[in-house]
Amino acid sequence: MPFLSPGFKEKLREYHLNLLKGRGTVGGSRRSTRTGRSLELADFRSYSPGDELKRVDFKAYARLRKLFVKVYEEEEEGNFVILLDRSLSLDFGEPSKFFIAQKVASLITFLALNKREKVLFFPLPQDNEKPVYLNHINHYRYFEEHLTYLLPAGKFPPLSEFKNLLESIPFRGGVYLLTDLFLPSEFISYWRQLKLHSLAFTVIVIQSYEELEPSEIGEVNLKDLEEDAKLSFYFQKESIQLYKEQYNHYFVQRQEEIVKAGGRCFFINNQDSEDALFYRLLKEGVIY
Amino acid sequence: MSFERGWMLWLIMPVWGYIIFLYLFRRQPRPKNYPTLRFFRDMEPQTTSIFRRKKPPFLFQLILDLLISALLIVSLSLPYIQAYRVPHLILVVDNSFSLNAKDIEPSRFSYLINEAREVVRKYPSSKYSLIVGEPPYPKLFEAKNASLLIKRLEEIKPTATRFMWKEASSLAKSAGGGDALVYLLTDGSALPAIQEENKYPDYFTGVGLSGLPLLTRSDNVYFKRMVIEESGGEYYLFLVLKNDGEKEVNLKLTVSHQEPLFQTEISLIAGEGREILYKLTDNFPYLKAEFTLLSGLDFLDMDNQAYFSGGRKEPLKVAMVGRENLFLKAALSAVKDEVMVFNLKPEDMVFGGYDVYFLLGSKPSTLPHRPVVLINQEGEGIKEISLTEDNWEDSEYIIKEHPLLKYVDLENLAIDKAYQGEYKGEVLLSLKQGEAEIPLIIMEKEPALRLTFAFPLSSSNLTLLPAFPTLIKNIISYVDSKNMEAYLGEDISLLEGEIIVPSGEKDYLPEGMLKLMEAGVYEIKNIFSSYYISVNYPPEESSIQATLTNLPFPESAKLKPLSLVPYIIILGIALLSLSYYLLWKRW
Repeated sequence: MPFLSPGFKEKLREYHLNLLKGRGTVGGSRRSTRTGRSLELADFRSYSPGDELKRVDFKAYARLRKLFVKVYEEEEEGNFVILLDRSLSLDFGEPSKFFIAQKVASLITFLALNKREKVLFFPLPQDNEKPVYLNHINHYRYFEEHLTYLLPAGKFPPLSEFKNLLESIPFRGGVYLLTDLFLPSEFISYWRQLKLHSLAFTVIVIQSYEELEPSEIGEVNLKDLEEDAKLSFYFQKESIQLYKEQYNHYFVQRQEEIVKAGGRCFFINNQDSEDALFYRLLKEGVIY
Repeated sequence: MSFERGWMLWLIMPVWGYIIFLYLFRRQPRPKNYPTLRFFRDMEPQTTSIFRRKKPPFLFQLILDLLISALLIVSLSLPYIQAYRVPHLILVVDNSFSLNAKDIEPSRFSYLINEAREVVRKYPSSKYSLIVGEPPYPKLFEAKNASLLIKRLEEIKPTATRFMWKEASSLAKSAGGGDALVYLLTDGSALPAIQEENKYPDYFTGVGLSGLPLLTRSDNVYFKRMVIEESGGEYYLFLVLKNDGEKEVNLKLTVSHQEPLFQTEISLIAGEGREILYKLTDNFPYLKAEFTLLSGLDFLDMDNQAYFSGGRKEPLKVAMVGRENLFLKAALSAVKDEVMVFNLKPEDMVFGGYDVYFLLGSKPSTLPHRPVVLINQEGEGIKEISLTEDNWEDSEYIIKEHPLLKYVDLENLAIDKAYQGEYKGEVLLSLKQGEAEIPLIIMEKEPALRLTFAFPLSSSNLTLLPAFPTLIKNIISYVDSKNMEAYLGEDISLLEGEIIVPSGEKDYLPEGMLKLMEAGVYEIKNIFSSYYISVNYPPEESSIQATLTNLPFPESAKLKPLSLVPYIIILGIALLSLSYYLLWKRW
């Protein structure tokens, strides 16, 4: 099932991802370096499986008996990491938050691949899913198919697992975290990790209208989608008001933390149409 | 608390059932999956009251609903408090043998006592009486309170041979006056008779008291009947008062014999008849008039097999008591157009309701004051007596001249022996027909006719045929004519009759119609004229006087029951308001 309509995709072809915008000259230079390969060496990093052999610095190997890969400036700028939260809490709303997350993920991927940039895709939690590495626009079709088969499962990974995951990323690039922000409680540590392992990170928070504006449905037995917890709640005017205060406070806090950690954060709604989504991203400066 | 429409209380059950059903199967809180419960948990301290709105208020709501619906139904069934006590509660109980029956656990009599307890509980009274309707005459006990009454009742043994319900209820009415609440407690064996009683007017064997002001008109209230009745050697004054007016009357009845005997206050609603029984002293000199329809005897014309419908219009009620006898049944079927035959079991036998009894193979200790034909009483304690000249002559007379033996073929019958019967004045005559010996008792002393056939009704005794059916027919005809007593307003056709007034004088009754206009006064109508005859003495010779005096009605305001409807409606409204208040408050 295609997440993006053909017309929408045509529209997107004119746009770029703007993750690095705001990082001074780096963002500006990215566009000019796309075609050339005579690049400055920026850094070395440990070899990890999947890296191109031609990038391995054999001289260093001979010297240190350790495999290092040369990392070029150009690669940093053109690589994106998409972390898609697929925990069960996203399986909520109509359409589900997860569907919107998939949509946004495919949108970002399409934008990146369209401009010959590379995308590394991780579902969270990973379970047995392998990360997907995409570097050609032709991969987009397969990626969409891959996304289709991806279903919400499990919980958002704990901090240690999250850290390991970030460490396994073979490059530093722009990170997009698509989540509903219902994470384990060490929020700030998560943002720090993101900051540490990326050039820039953006947290796209997906909310559902049903969460934002619950209706007065009287007494319901609530069941946590992730935890095995139950709770009886009476949805009425006063209690909903209280709930909304709590809810908004929570998200404002998380947003502040993210901004403080150097990231960007904005919210999208499951009721948003393709166009609304597009203009939202445009407004937030994710694309230009 | 009592209810005017008590049956409505049954509605509570289905209504409650429905409410509880709705409660049990009410819409449960819907399950709903939610991404996270963290906000709700955080909210809990602030919104404890919201979270408490769970089961208890619903249960409370249910209780309120049940209460409100019950109150609504209770108020619709018009409750009231018996703000007054019954002035006098009289229990008339049956202690006949049949109450020993164990068809109701533990026995019918225990059941009756329980019913009595219920009645006593239901009607608190300031005065309690207990009347036991056992022969020879009903007994009246007074009790200070309800528990003593029940204690008294428990001491009674169900050993009486019959239930004298009529006498007992009359006694109750006279003992309690108009205000008393009289409760008749019986096991129902008397009910056929009571029902019959409703079908046919009272029929007592007593006689109209001559000389009484039998018709005391006072606002259309009059003595329908005033007789002295003998029962078991006791004499009772039996009065029937009737209010034919359209208004309720309050009267004082005074009965005196030289000096006042009793007086009572009576309220009669429009159309009500009231029976009053008063026991007279043993040696009370009473007078009686005999009323005989002479022509009625000849209504059976054997030659033409024709039946003259002279006599009372009502068919004669014949009770056949004991085991079924085909022979007698066949004999009775010959007169089936003139009589109504009732088959009774010995235990159901109630004296008083029937005109003649045929007792088959049973011999009760007391016999009713009605003609009784005892059949199949062979050889039970009969003592032979010598036939003297006198009684022989009497017997011969009986045999030859007695109307019962009219048309009976007695050619081959001869008086053989005479025996002393078991009952007073009973003489058993042994008749011979060829070789067969047929004992026959005819006793016609007061108070009633007795006939005893002491032969076994087996096929070998069919030799009596055709004399026997004829005899049965004769008995029926004889009873029908001999014990004629007219009811008020009833027409009797007669060919010829005579009436003997208490002074001993006889009046001739010509062919025509006879109608009892009022007690003791008959209207005779024939094709030529219409006139009245009186069987009473002149008032100045009266020995018992009964007078009626009008009384003002008592104030009825304080007797009015206190209606609880407004209070219950107010309570219901209060509960409803509370319920809505709680809903509004959302607990």
